[in-house]
Amino acid sequence: MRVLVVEDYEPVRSAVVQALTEEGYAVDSADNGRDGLWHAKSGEYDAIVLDILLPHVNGIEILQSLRSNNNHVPVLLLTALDEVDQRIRGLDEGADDYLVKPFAIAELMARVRALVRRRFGDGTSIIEVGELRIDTSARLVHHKDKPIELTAREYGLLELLARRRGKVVTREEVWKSLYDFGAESSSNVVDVYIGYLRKKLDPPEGPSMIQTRRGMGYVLTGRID
Amino acid sequence: MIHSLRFRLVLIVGATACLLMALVGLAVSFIFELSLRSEFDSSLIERARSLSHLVEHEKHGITFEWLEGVGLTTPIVEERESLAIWNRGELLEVFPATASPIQPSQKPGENAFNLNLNSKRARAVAFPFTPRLVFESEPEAAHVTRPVLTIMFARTTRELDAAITTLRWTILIVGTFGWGATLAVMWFAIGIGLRPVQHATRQIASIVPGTLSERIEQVDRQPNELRPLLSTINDLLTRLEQAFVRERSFSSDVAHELRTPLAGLRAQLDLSLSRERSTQEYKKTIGQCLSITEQTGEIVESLLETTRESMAASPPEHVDLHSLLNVLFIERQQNMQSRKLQFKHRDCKDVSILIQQRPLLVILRNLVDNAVCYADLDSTIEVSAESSDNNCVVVISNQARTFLANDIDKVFNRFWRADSSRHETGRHCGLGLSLCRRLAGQMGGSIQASIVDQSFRIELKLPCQSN
Repeated sequence: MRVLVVEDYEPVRSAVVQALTEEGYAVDSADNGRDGLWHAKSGEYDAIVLDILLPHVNGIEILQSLRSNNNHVPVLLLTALDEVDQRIRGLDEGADDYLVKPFAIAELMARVRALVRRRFGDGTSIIEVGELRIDTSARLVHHKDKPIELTAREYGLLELLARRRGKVVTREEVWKSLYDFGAESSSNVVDVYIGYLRKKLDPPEGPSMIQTRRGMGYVLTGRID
Repeated sequence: MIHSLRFRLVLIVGATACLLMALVGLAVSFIFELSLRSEFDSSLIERARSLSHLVEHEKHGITFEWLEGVGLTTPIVEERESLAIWNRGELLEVFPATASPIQPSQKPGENAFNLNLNSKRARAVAFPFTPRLVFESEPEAAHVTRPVLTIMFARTTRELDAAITTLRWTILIVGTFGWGATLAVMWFAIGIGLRPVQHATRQIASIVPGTLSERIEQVDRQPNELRPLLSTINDLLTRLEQAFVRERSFSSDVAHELRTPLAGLRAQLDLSLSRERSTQEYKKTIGQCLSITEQTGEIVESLLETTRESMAASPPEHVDLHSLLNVLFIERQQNMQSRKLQFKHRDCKDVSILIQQRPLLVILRNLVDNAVCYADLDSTIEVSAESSDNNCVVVISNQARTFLANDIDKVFNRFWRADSSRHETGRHCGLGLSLCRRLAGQMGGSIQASIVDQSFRIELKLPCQSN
């Protein structure tokens, strides 16, 4: 899962970025509207956390630009502007959620999860793939009712595959969900993390839940062939 | 009750009416009394005169007609009357016979006078007269010496006094009832007259902080006496509304500016407590929180300082713009040195003007702060100041190569910042230029920003008197 944070106040930005990273998201950030707009237009994000009062280009202008280009990435406006008409304007311009500062990090994370869930058309925070059960709110994974310990990146990757269950997730998408914009691309990393997941999810012997579609990517299925 | 305008008006009008009615009553009473007494005296004189005609001088002496004929059976004077006829100290006749005769020495003449008649108040007349001659032949009468008698006639004033007392009581009772009725009518009349005041009071009472834009309606249709007061109240409401808007705007600015650092604090602390961290990480969080609180304190201080100074009314003072700008730049010498900035005056002549110093100081301080904070590193800030008869113009320009020309329209927006990080701006919260524009507008001037040769140029124009 990949999230963009556009916030000019460094303490808020760094805390949000770190919290999202610790939740397993790949996070990009920008400290002004111009850079934020560039990131939003050039990257594929599962959610954007956007401040309104930003230098150069404000959050509402970024939102208008995205929506006018048919970019329907879920956007959460995170702002100090708390008046009702400001909230209405933000939501009417195409924001999916609105959170007023100061806020609880846990609430922000819950709202981002909800945005991501809606983006993939999931109604609840529980994703079930065969005997694999993922609680996205508690970030817990069970296989045959046994808990599976995953790192943040492994969890992020598994959630991406689970949300796209039955469909091919390309290597590039896997890479983007693991690392932020500045990281150098390495094809090995994708294989390494897929390998880690397989080790933790699959039985010692037998076929894997994560199937490789050669030349295309990976598919998570409930069946173990 | 005493604080009621209606009561006061009724009291004043009532007191005035009471005084007037008392004066009128006294006058009426006096005139009527005078008239009654005059009438009484006239009848007294008339009666005495007619009695004197009944005294005759006959051959054998003075005779009284009332002692003859009908007079013997009918009393010539009533009980309340008394009659005495004197001839040079000799009492010729007295009625009633039991009464002590009225002495002739008492004020003879045509005018009535007071006296006691059998211990009762009475009025009397006394005048000399010559009895009618009744002789059988004229030659006889021609040789008679005619005596001059004095008739004294008195009548008690009991009935007159009773009539006057009745008159006085009537005037008093009618006056009192009339005064009461006047008070009642005045109470209602003043109540009707005060209706516009009550209407205006209701309108004013309905204006609360949320409806400060409302005004007292149709002032022109109000009574003349109320118009100036209502117009003044409307003006006061306008000033109050403006003050409320300023206060609300300031509160909103402060709330907004505090929300962001509070969000930073909370986010940092939330994140820190979300899982076990190393000592190093906790130290980093604590350091960051400390830095946020210091920055927040500076922002609050800056906002309060700016608002206090800008809101305080001040009379025009003599200001030397050149010296003032020098002082402001010298105060920021440390920041300028750290950013390797120079400043120079384009024109070094003295510009002395008469102007409100406090708002001017707030504006210039913000403009200089802005220039020192946002000028490119290792550059020069240029300042010029000049004045004409009615205006002064201050221009401050600083190099700003990275400033986007598109942003020039936004620089006066509240919370707009030129930099991409609040850390770089320190206590700047994006309100300075917005405040400058507001203050310049309040002073009747203007402020404009432009980009000229990659320099950010601010031109401040204010009305003033050249010194």
